[in-house]
Amino acid sequence: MRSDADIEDAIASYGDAVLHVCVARLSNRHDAEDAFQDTFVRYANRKEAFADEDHRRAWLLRVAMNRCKDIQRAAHSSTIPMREATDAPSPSCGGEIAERDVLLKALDRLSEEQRTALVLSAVDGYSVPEIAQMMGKRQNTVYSYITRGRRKLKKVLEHD
Amino acid sequence: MTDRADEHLDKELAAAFSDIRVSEQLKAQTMERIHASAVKSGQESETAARASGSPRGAVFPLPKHRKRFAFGIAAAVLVFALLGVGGHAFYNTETAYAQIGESSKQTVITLRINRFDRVISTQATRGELQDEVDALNLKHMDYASAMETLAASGLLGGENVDAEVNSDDTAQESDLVSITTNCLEGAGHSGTCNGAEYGMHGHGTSGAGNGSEAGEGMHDGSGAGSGSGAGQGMHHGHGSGGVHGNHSEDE
Repeated sequence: MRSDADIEDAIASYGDAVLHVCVARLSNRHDAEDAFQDTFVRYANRKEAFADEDHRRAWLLRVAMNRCKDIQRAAHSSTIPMREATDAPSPSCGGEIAERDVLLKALDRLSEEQRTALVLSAVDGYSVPEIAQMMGKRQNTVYSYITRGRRKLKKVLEHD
Repeated sequence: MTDRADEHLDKELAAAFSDIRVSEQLKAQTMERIHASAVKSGQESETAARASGSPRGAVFPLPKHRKRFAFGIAAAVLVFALLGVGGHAFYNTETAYAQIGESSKQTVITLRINRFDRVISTQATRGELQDEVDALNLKHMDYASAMETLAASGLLGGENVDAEVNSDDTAQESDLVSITTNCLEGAGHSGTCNGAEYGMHGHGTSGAGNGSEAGEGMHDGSGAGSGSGAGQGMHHGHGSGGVHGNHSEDE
């Protein structure tokens, strides 16, 4: 098993990205946190060494995506809309919260792949080659996910 | 290339996710789960070690693909073991026997033969003779070689040697009879094999048995022969000296 320091370092470095992907894919904070924890339990139990930092990051994100798929397959999961996935809004900034809810709700209308690619790009700031490595897709495909995702998101927001 | 609208959208998205961060509580819960999982897997390996009687910590749970591989190996070993046991039993099943010798001199040797015409065991009427036969290492020899060895060994007694060959398979029996008579003739013996005379050419006593002692069948010689010599059938006296078929119960 990996050391606590190693696990804490992985959580500090990639925890947010993992959680973002889980939330984007599952639209349910509770399930997303479950997937997050499963991912790091698997990381802790992984005996093999990583080739480099890119490999470690890509491995974590891929495991998280696969875990999300497993959770989705278990039909018991009750899907709560994305806006319920975020933390409880603070009453002082009601206008911002409403705007964010609309955006997250619109994000639900995108495909899983589009959501994942867009979140990793826009929220976590990863480049297309990095996302391609994490998702196990070609760069052109990832670029297409991001472009089409943005276009669709704009369209949904315009209609709403 | 991202235009201004895209950049704006990305900023809005980033802002929407700004609250979604790994909290200290989530981090603590994750570490707790990791430690619990480590304890659980440690307990599992300890239970397995205790169950197998191995020293503590000596057994580690195998990964899934290794388990499948181990199961495959175990299945293959089982199949080979069954084939081995079955093959051994198949090989050692007696399908024929040959009794050769002079019952009057207590030199009857029985060779038990399998379906492959191999000698699977030998039996002699006397203990000393058994020792001599064992020394010839006839076991697992093919019947023709075993007969040649036996005929050349001088253990079969004098000139007159009778033989009785019996098999459930008529084709095998016919082969064994032929081998027996050829070998015995080749070694200068004469007598009967399954009631049919062999090696009699020089004696001119066609139809006559060779035995001088009447009624000394190996098992139940009745001595009721009608020819010049009383029969020396191993099971039945064959006084008439005619060629008898196998299992002939006619006296």
